[in-house]
Amino acid sequence: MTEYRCFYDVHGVPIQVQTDDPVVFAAAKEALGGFSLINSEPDQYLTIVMQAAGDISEVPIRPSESAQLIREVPTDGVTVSCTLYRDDPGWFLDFDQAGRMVLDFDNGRVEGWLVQPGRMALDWAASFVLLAAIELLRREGLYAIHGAGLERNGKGVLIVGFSGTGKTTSCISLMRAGYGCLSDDHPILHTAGAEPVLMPFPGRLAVTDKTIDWFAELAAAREGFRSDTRKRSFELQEIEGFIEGRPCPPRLIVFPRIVDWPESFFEEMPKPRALEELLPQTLLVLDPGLAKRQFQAMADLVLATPVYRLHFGEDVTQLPELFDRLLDSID
Amino acid sequence: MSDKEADLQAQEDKAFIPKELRPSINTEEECVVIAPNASKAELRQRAGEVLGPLLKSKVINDPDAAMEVTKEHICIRNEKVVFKEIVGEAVLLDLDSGFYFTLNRPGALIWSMLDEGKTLGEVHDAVCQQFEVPPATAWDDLVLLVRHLNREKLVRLEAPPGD
Repeated sequence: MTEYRCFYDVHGVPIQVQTDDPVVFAAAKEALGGFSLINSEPDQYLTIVMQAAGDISEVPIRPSESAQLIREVPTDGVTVSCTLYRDDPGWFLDFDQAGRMVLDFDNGRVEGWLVQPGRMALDWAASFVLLAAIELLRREGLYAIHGAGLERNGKGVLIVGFSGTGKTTSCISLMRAGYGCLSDDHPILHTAGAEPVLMPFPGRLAVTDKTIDWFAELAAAREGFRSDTRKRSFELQEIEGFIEGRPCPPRLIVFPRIVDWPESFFEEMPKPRALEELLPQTLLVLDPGLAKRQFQAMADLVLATPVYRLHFGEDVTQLPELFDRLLDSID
Repeated sequence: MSDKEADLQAQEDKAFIPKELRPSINTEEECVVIAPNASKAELRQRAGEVLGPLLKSKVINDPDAAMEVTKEHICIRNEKVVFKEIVGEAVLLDLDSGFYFTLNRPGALIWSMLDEGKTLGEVHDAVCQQFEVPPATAWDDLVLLVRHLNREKLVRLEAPPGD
């Protein structure tokens, strides 16, 4: 049996991906392929071992008898349901018929099984690897935030919110005006240094047909976009003028909300409301020690950064002017 | 559950606005006026008069209402809850469940004092000094908050020594 194995360098943290299944290996590349590969085995690294099974009954890992049920997250019709157990070692995630995963934070290792990954959309299969990587990276003070991250003149902009609030559309609109893209879905906040830094999580950008219709250059390139995922996706370099953002300190956090109004506008948000909305976007946090550190990091971020509600109107292409004015007013 | 109660439940489950809360077309019906400074207990009693039995049991009858809370009780924070005070409010995260909670200014003040071994009577005095509020209202609110925090396992309530 062929074993596929490689090391990704995620902002200085090596992650080993190991599998005997080519589809899982492709899914890992989809999730982490924006980071560079390391040619030789590093001294220390985090490990994700992910295998494929033909049926859930073939998956050899299951919660132990002493596992403690922590939470059941039902399916929302798009994502699969997830049952979370505290177990020894670490944490057990049961994705119903789709797969299972054990996260061992103490040893920096995730072991998982996916059921028939070849039948999953590639981005769906990739999301399991991504989840494993994001959870492990918290150990290193690298916190992925569900949102869009951009950079302009060394200032970081974080656009945070649930799906359907206008994150990706805002992101594309700003990129057309020269803002660098850190990620359209999960930029990383690095807090190990003296000052927090917003860092890129490079990867394909996923857009709906509706978002494509807003922007002429995307509409023109639509046929070239990959559509083997749940949305259409493209590489940054496929659109002229789109650039990657550089790591930078976060200077603005925006929580968009779509409104039925011709013009978009900002409204300053109370900090406690901002933290309430930010916390659910920092994805699953399992280990209590890590959760405590992350909570502190997010609270510090909100306290140190101007926070605004973006009432997102119909003037999608005018957003850059609005953001420019606000960013220019911030040191 | 009797047939009548089952019918009642079916009606209340189905109706978006329970019949007891629908506006009456009888304009001569007596209107109950509630004073703006009515206590929580009075509001609870008035609401109980207009809600049906099922909603009353769900909404009005606090499941922890039977739990005695006195001014001699001491409320102790759960060590597995981390919090951050932000512009006077407090955001709490329960590390065991992953759930988080926000307390407004009076709630944040109360939370800050739960770490000092103060009795609820002493906490009540401090709230009354800090905010312009009738003492009875402050006590009702304090008991409500303590019961809620206890229900969510964010604190534990210790009986006064000797109990």
